[in-house]
Amino acid sequence: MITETMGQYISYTAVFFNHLVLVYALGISASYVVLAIMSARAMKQYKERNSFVDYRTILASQFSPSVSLIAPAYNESMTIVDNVRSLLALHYNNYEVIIVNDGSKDNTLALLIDAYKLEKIDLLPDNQIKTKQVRGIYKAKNPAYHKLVVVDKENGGKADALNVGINVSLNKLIACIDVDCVLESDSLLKLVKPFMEEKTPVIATGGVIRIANSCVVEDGRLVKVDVPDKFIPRVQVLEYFRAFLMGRMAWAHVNGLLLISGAFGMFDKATVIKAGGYNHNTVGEDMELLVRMRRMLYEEKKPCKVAFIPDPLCWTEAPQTWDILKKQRNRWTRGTAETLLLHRKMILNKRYGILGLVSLPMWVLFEWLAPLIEFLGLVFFCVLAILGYANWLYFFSFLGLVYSFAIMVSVFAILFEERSYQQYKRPGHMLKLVLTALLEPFLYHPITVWAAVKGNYDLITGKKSWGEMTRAGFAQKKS
Amino acid sequence: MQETILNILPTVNNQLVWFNLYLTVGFIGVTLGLFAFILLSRLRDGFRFAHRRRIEKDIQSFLTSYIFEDHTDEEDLTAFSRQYIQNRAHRQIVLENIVSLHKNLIGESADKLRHLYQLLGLQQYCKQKLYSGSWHKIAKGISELANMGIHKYSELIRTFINHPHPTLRSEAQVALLKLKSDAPFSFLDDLKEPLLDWQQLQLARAAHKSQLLSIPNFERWLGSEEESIVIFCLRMISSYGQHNAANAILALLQHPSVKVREEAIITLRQLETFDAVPILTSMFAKESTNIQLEILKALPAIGDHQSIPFFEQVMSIENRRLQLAAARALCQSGQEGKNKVLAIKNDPEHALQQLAATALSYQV
Repeated sequence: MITETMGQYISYTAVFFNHLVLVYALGISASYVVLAIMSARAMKQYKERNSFVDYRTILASQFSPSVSLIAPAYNESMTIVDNVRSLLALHYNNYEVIIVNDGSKDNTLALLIDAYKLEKIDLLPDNQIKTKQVRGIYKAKNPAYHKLVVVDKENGGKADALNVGINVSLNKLIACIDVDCVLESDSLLKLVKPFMEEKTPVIATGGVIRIANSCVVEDGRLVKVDVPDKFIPRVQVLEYFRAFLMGRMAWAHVNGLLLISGAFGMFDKATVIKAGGYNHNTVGEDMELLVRMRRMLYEEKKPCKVAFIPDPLCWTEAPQTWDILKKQRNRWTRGTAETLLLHRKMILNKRYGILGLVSLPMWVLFEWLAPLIEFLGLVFFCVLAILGYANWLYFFSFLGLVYSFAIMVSVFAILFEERSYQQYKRPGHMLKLVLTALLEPFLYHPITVWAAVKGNYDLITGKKSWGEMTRAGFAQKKS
Repeated sequence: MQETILNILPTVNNQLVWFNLYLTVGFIGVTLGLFAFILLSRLRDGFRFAHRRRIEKDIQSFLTSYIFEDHTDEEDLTAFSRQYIQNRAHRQIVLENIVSLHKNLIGESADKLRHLYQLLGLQQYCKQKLYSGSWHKIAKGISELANMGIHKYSELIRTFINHPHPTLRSEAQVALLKLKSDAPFSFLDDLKEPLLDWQQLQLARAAHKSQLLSIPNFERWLGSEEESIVIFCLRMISSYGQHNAANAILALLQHPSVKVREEAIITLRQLETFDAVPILTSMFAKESTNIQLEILKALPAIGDHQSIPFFEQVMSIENRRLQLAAARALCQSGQEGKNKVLAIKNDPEHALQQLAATALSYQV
């Protein structure tokens, strides 16, 4: 039996929630609009600057910075040989490729030894970051593969494998990548450039990650770009447009970037080591490292910059089943939350400049809490509906508002892609993406919200695992 | 109780419903507009591309006949000018084609093309760009003038070498390097902005490609107050093998900037300046680890086996990175040094046995 006091309580709560959700929705929408405008400006400036750039200048110079490309590999036997070959063929002079076999259970190491005629060498890694035991280090007998170093170590996770790679690396810049990614041949040239063109020291650079599902990959090289056939990866194309072309580009423009994708990013090695390397205790090690590096430099009062370039540099295979997608989003949520909690001292702290006052609060509000608020709103609405108090007119008008805004942002992201690098050239590609944008809010978005809610639950219950990420691999697309 | 709820909810929501509806209509309108814009811009780009290709075909055919045929009809030239130079968009296409072709020509053909460029008034058009308010346009104008070898506006270009925009600064510096064949690096005297690494790379490449006849003595700028200029000059000294600058470089080992000292050591290594050995060994103890590592790289390259006792001494310091670098230096100091490392490797009791093995096996 509902008493009158309870009824009043419900009604006031309902009104409060109505307003809260509306204000929140307007806030998040406004942030999208502001980011889009800033990103458009940054993109224009980048393209103007880049019209004067000839990357052969970097390629031809003996003064170009040296780079160590570090790729952790765990059970990658399907594609490892081709992927390493493509890494060795990148257009850059002064670089080494370090493959860290993170205790694979399959024959990843054996395949590498066989394909590249590797031999074990006596090398004591420079243990500036503490890691799990290194079992052996291998170099190729064939001088054609002199850039290749393979490290075999006990399984310790991606962060530990990357730290081993950092210890073994000899160069001033490190590029950390997922070994199953396909890099554009000029990606190192493009990623190195921001380190050379800023007055303020650049500590990290990231680039746009693209979805490679349904693209044709031959011998570890992307030869044909296509929009994914399946719905789930196709939505992720839109998500990546929004995140990279509209989001990170804008954040980098105001030096407020907090995340360089783990799939491909370049870092100043000395700063990484000084900050302590990748953190083993979080599943969001990529974001956590960058936040920690920036925090350290803010505390030392040393100005630094994190750059981002809009060129497509790296193609990765996106999850194409609901199950894998949910695991990925669960992990991303935990990683974000863990980083934000670890560095909570920075939030709304003016000592950390734009990071403390703008970037981190926005991550808390619009990245971490967004799915929770959405979920709570939905639960609350269901309660009202069951009790017969739902105002359906308001519900549908609000739904229309959110839906139309979501479509607008996606179409705006497609416009960014069109006006920047137009990787999807056929008109059919664009129509497919627009249709996907129409379906995304109903078919895809609820699943990711649920995965994020579950991620928060797992965080509270102390779940630490990555969740197995099986990939179909590119091998089947070989001609 | 139900009345209480219904009294509150609808009053709020009726206003909000209209608010939501207005915004929804607005968003739908913007979405449709964006969609139409995408479609139209695709059509426009396709049309522009085809149109440009058609025009370029005509332009290239005219340029080829102008360069390689002995006589060009005055009427043809006038007709070409009327058709392509009066129109601003076409004029830019003509200009881009001429500049691009000029880069690939030398001798009489290049001169003829430059003459045509002047005849068509494109030189004036490029000069006008230098007075634009946009850095992008100015930089384009500078680049075009430099690529066409127009010396006349060098002094005007020089005014941009300290411009706040780094790309424009860089274009101006590269242009002066190309245009001032008698003193290609003289702009360094007036530089107030730092010479970024990227600009240094561009200048080095431009100098290499231009096959400069007069390479200055870069020692001249080693006393510059701007550390990036000193670093650039050290790199150039190394590139052009200017051994006569050795004493000035040795003096830089006392420079307050760590970066300058580090670059000086690298340059001394590359020039194999023998006189540096005693100075490098004496400064070793006071330096940071990074500088010490550079010294350990430089010494075996310039000192042969005279530094072996020094390397052995460094191996006793409790710093793994220095120990490894010293062991590597020993390996590079002839057979005598290598034997010493081998002896450590073969001694199972030696604390540095694995480190010696690393130094011997890891060929970078």
